[in-house]
Amino acid sequence: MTLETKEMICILCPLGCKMRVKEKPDQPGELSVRGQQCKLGVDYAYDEYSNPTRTVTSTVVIHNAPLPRLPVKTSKPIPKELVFPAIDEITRTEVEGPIEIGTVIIKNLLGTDSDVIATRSL
Amino acid sequence: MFDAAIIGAGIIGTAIARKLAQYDLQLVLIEKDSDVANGTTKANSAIIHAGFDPEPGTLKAKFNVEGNRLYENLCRELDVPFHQTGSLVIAFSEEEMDTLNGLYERGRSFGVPRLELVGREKLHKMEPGLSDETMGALYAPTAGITDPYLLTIALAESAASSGVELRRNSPVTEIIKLGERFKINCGGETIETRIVINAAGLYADRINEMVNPSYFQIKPARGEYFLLDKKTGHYARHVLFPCPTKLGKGVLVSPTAHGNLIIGPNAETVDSKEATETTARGLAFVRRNAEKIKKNLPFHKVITSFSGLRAKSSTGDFIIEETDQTRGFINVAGIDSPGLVSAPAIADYVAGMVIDKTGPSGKNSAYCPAARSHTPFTNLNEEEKEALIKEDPRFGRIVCRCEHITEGEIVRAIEGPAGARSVDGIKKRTRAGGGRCQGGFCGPKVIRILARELNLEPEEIKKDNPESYILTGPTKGKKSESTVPGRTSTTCSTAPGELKTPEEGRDYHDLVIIGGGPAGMAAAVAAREQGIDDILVIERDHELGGILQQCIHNGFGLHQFREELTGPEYAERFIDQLKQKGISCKLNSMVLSVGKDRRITFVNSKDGLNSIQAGAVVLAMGCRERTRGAINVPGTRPAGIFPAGMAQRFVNIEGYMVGRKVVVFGSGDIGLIMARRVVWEGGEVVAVIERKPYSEGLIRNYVQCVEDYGIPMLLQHTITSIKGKDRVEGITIAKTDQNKQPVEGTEKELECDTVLFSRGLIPENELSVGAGISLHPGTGGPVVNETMETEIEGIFACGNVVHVHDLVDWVTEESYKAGRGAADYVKRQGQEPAEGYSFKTKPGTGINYIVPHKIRTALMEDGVELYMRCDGHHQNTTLQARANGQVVKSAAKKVLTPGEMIVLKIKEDDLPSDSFDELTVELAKGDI
Ligand SMILES: Cc1cc2nc3c(=O)[nH]c(=O)nc-3n(C[C@H](O)[C@H](O)[C@H](O)COP(=O)(O)OP(=O)(O)OC[C@H]3O[C@@H](n4cnc5c(N)ncnc54)[C@H](O)[C@@H]3O)c2cc1C
Ligand code: SF4
Repeated sequence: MTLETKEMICILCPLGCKMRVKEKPDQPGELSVRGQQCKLGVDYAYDEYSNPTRTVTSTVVIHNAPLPRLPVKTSKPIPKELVFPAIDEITRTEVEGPIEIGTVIIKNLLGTDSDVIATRSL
Repeated sequence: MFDAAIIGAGIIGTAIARKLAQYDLQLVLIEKDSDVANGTTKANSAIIHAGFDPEPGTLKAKFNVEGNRLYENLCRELDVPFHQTGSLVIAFSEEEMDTLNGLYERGRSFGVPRLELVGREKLHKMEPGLSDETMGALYAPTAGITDPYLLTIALAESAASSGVELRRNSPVTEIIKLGERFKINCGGETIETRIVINAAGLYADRINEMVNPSYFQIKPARGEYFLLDKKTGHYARHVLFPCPTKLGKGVLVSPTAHGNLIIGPNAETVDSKEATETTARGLAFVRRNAEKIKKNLPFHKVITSFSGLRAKSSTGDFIIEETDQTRGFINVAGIDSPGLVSAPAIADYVAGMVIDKTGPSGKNSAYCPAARSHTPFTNLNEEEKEALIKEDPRFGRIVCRCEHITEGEIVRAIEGPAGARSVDGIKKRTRAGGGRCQGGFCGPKVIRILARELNLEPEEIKKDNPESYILTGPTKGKKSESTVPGRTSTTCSTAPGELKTPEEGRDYHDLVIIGGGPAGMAAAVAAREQGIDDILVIERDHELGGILQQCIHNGFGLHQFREELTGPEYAERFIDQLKQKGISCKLNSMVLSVGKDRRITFVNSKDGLNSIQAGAVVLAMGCRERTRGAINVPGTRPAGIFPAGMAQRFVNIEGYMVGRKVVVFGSGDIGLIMARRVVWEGGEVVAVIERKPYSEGLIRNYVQCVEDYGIPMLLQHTITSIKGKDRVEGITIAKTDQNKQPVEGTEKELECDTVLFSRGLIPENELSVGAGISLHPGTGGPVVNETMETEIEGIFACGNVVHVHDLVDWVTEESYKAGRGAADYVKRQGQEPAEGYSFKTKPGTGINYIVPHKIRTALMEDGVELYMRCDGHHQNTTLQARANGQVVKSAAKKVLTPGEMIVLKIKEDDLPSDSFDELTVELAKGDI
């Protein structure tokens, strides 16, 4: 098994340390992290290495409402590799107004346990 | 069969058409472009010259003096601005004084009225602020300024309303002479006419050559200009010229008919008749020369730059004649300067030639000397405004906030046979989009109104010519339906649940808040919590929330709510509070002025023009985006250039995509976030370009909006030119040096159809300035004290109108303070606040500005947050506040960047016991 080295930028403070992260060959699940200037960088590296996630915010088509688009977001961050499939799913969705803020628009998006919810009332 | 066909609808063609329209003739006016006044008439100095300048014996000399005499009447008839400011030709040497003498004599021999040679002293009295080297001037009181495209449009409207057929989008491609008549192919159709009048400007040589051998050429000579903000016109009282040389009249400085300042042009012969781009070199030349005439020109107030092409004939003079070879064919060619002033005289002369040919003709009983009023709503008096809104409520709806243009004026500009069909058409007729934000705010609304009135989809609305598309289609590929554009109600919020509306007819409120964004709403909530019941929030838009409603991404509210909200969610939390607390709001209502005495006038379509008295005022108008013009990027001006925030509004709220291949210029957060939005909506982002060596936005936004999608971030690069005639076709980029200036020889081309400018925000303070509040040079916002009170008693300010914030949470904090301050002011009822001493805050090393600027210790509550920005990247530094030489507070900082607000809380206990004048905050290396 080849162990992948990932370059990443820590986003936890404006320093934006450039880090090199790879799994330790002898200790599976343990990471070697280089380049961080504080220990927050290590925590960030663990998340971003094994399970990078993102919140998706977009709009869906809304009919019968004062404005043509309803802003939405994923209720929790979803795995990064699912961002584009999620966008496709959101693009296909249309709703009828009126809608209350927080209304679930897509339940359990792509089996992620995250819902797509309305971020305003319209 | 027409009696006469006029080719070209610039000032000359339309003036001839209107003149001929007085007779009973069949006339057609043919224009290749989508609108009248689209060629040289669109971009020139707009000066009505007195007429001493042309060579004796030329047609230029003859028509200039005559034309000048006719102008006042013409403009009055058409209700178009004309101001006889007078002109001064300024001499800087003895030699130039001699030239002036010559011009004086020449002018007198032409019959130019009231010319006068003025000496140095009188000159400096007439025109203060001239450069010290000036020796004297030739004063011509009959020179003036007008609005050339409004005049041309008014001429076209009059002609068209009198029965002249106006054909736009109709390029003439062939003219065939058949016996006594001509067949003209234009825009795919054929028309027949007895007489052809060639007023085709830059293309007059080509039109001539369709029927005659070539006997003159039109050589384009480009002139580049700066246009400065509306409030700068007073920098010149007269039209100011240097002494003319063989090259022309030189770079002038002049007020415009609308109170702007225009500076230019240079003169450069170019090959192409379409070369209307600006160049860094040309604009630098203009600036250098203008500064020779006048000191301290406010170049930081540039709102746009543009260029125009003069149609210079190879003969050097106007060519106005029926050709010998082809009888019935009249050339009106080579009309470069002074063509604008000569137009009415040329029109009379050419009309005479036509009547000679057609034989005496009866009067046209349908002749309409003026089709409509062109006085902008904002220039009417109060009664006239009231009456107009009563008759048509659309005049109560302000669409363009910079120029105060109403929906009524926009609709009126679309109506009629010569009405606007494009966004530029609206701008030329009404000035909507011609103000300091250059369409950043009103663009989306203007597009919706055009689409509604013309029964088209918004993506079918063009900037100008048919290829100049603005929107590439609805997001999600689905039609975007909106019920809001009507926006008639002054009360409706688009969120369910009612906002309170004030009782009818009230003309006093304890507290009036201008702007219903996060700042205005937080101030309202805080004032209510302090027991003020009578609060009115006035908001221009159809809903509360301000800029947050378009910021659909997350990252808001971590400090206030301890969770990550999106912009609309943050806004809705405050809207709900306003509803619960029963705070009154007026939506769709635009505040026009605020007085020192806290009298406020506002307008909407339901109550018309209103004047109310406020016990206290909170200014919370937010900010606007810096435009391309203000940043001064040379090149052409096609469709596809958007301020990033305007693009954000189109994509997120209106549901339209702005382009397919996008370049983002500037790495501020709005730009980074829009890069990701474009990708998520199916577009491509070619690059993000940043002049500085680092990205200006948050690291998180860089990683999650740019790096995640493999978008190249070109640091230390700039755009040196934009290309494309109708729509952006590409840009030239270059590396930048330490001063952020392009390095020659490093240029590269990038292909794209869209450029988004994300180059910073400017506090929107026209109302504040109107109230007599002075602005701080460091922030661009009002000078405020610890309660956010401005220098004018009882007027408070908060949010982006004071300084541009990175986080809405700071806006909220600051606005709570303003709300409490205003509440306290109302409750004190004129009594002085508690005693105590006061001091000023002063930015020291590494700090750009501090808000508040002044602190009264007795009113510090439990402490005052100092909001600051630093001047660059600082690592491992100490932020320290000093008073009387001693450090009173310090905080170690791992890293500080200019993009992030620095906040330092100072408590009364921190301060020295004896009074002091200044509290300095600075950055010191290492720990203290
Ligand atoms: C793209 C982008 C991303 C951002 N990201 C974040 C983020 O992640 N986190 C964060 O905390 N902050 C963020 N911000 C900053 C934050 O949104 C702003 O600082 C905040 O919204 C400013 O509030 P304001 O009330 O001062 O201005 P605005 O929201 O602009 O409100 C001003 C209001 O005044 C009205 N008005 C103006 N003139 C008149 C008049 N004459 N009569 C009547 N009404 C008038 C306007 O219509 C408007 O509603 C972001 C901003 C942008 C643009
Ligand atoms: S590792 Fe530490 S210092 Fe470096 S960016 Fe992350 S939080 Fe900042």
